[in-house]
Amino acid sequence: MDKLKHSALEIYREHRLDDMFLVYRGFISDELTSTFLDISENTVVDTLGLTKVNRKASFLLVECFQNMLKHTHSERIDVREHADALFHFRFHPDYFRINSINTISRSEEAGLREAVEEINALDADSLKALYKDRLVANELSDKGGAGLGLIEMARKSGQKLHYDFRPIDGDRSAFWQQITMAQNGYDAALDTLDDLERMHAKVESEDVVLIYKGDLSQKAILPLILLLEKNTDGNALLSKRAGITMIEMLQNASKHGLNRGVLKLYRVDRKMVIEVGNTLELAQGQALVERLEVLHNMSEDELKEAYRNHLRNVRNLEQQTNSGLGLMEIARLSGGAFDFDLQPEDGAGFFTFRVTL
Amino acid sequence: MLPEAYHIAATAETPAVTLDASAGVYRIEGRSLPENAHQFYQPFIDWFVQLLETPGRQLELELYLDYYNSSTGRYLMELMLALEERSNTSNVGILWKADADDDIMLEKGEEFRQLLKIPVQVKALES
Repeated sequence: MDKLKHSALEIYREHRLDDMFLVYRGFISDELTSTFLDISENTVVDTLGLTKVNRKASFLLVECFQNMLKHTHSERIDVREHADALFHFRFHPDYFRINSINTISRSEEAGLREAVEEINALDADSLKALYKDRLVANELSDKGGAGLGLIEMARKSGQKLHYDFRPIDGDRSAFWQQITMAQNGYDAALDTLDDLERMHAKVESEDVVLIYKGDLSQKAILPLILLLEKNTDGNALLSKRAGITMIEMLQNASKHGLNRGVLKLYRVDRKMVIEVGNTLELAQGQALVERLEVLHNMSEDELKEAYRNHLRNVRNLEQQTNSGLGLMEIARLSGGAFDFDLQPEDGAGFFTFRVTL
Repeated sequence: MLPEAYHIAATAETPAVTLDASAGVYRIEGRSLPENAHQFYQPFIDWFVQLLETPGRQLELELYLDYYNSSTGRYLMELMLALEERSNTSNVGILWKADADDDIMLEKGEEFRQLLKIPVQVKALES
């Protein structure tokens, strides 16, 4: 496998401590609020437990995302669908963090800066009072919400909002934002935007759509499919091929692995690349490698024939196995444009599977 | 005696299923991605086996799937083989529907048509 700048294994190692890590750089719209909430809730409910802190994290996530949507500049002002934002959140043992980068009009920058600075200057009691005042007075900006979203973000996180404005051109600026809910004595006041800078540089240079590290069980897969479907440039056939391929790769990882792993979607030369990495027993990894090597050496016709033979002989398969039907499906849909790698990791193995469509 | 009908709504990972012998409707429609396709599909396979214990029946199973995983593919094949095995005493067929621009699902329908001895009609639907 070609050495990638930021492979699934590197992502896994870099975010080893994170229960969940997600960065999304693609089309955003109202409907994705529930998608991100599903992803967050899967972690909160199954991994971290339904504590007050974790419930607050989900609330904060919704506020941040909705706030981002509200303030994103777009030519298409009559639809709430805006291109090319960055949205990130992670569950680290010491904090829950949300980052966003979105484009705003230059004309909005001063008002937004003032709103954030006002909020950052207030203590908890004053913020509560400001929230009530705004709610009662109904001072609506033309974006709606009276700045209530930003106030709630500060209140729920218990932290100042870290932010920056970066000019894009004469009409637009990028609004960089970071909210952190700290725990275990972590001091979020010392945070900077350095991590966001590094992440932004990486995802821009690799034209990343999505990086996800976390649970790869069935529940986790469904919202991830939706994020993929939003970013196939309206190409229905690509959307379907990519969707089926990604499902097979993730269900393969879930079946053979230890249920946690990495998904990375990115573009290379206008093609969509799906990369899945997961930990698994070395022996299982070796068996997967052997099967994939056989498939890799087959021609299109041989693959077709092998697939049909397997299908015709399903009666001979044990109940819980498809005996490689999924891997064959991936090989066929990708036209053989896939590669794979197995590395020792944590006393077991880390299997990476990459498909280009 | 006819088996009791199934009327199951679609979910995010399983299709809508209508199996109603008294109404003559046999339809599976939507998206099929269950991790455990055996658990979802085996009851329907058993249902058809029970239905076709009585010879001389006539049925067409309509399949209109948006997309499905390989685990589903395996159990769709099992279901169709169960129908095929009983085709000497009953008149059974498959109507495989797909959107006209959905090359993937049209190809899948064609594959089943070539693999099975019972008639499989592949119908491309214009939008």
